[in-house]
Amino acid sequence: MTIEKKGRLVCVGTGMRMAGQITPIAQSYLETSDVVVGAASNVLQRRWLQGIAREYICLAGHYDIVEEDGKSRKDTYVNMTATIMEQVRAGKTVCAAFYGHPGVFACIANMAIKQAREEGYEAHMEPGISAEDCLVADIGIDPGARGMQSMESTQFMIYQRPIDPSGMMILWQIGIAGDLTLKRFDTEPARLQILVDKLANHYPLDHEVILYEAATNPFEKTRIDRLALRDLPAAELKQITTLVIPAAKAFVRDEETIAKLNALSPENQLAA
Amino acid sequence: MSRLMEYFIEVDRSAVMRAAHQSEPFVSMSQFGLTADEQDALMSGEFGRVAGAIGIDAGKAQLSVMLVPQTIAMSNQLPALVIPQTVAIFEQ
Repeated sequence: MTIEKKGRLVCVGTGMRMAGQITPIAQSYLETSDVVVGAASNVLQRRWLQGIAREYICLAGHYDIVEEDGKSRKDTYVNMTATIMEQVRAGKTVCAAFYGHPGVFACIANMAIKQAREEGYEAHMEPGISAEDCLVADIGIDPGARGMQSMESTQFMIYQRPIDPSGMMILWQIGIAGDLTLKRFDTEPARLQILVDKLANHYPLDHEVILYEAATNPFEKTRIDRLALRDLPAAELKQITTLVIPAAKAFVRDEETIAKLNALSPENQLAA
Repeated sequence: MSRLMEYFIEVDRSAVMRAAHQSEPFVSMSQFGLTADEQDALMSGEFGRVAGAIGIDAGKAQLSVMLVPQTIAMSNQLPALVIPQTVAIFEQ
């Protein structure tokens, strides 16, 4: 006979704001779990979480270790996962709460769920409203209209990723772009200029780009600043700033595929 | 929980409260029971003042907690056994 392990983990997203963007099921987990282990977007959201949780453990302190020699954010994420798992192993129902969506730019949730399942605990994720969801609503660019590429800024810089300037491009964490130390929480004009130089292979320097920051409470203003690509190195950026690059080129028809499709339905030809 | 914190939450999740604050903020805040100091703090737009009025240390209030896992973007630098699933997601 196998003994079912009592601890349980659910990772929820709180949305980008305080209480208005959380799903009913996520709120219920926050209110009824034995302990909430949280990564809030700011101290106000943290205070809100503390007010509804039975017990609250804050993950923010784990960022302090990046100040130590030889430590980086990599260690931070491992330690955050360990904090979550410590509560699960203690037999508690654990709700790990992350701002935004727990599975989008929040690797700890997936790490913890995987670890919990490997150890025989029940674990799952509930979705939340992500920064990307807010961006689509606030800027009014439909990803379905021209397609969308979305990736982390440093990843874009250090890898050869195929770029499609006929669709929208979103570069996340532009505010720490080009940091290879994993210890900094900012960037600098020289790094941003390297990014601009790379983007200039696909976009004109006078192409209008958007700096976006989602509001994190009902009284905060959403940032939607439009500027020329060439001006990016001089822009004021935060950790939460996102770079949105609207499409710069028209679609190019794939005549070979169109011909194949036309051959299948001679009565409904796509015009040349 | 402070009354000001409750106001934040209600304006964030109630369409009625949001509309009331947008149309007549001081009437809305007064009816909710916010003190003059709390109202001034909120209308100042200064995050530190608001946090202070809620009872959060103004210095700590400036520290936003941001998850910045671009570590996963540089997946080739990660020990594969640590977070292989995450790495796999970003390598797709």
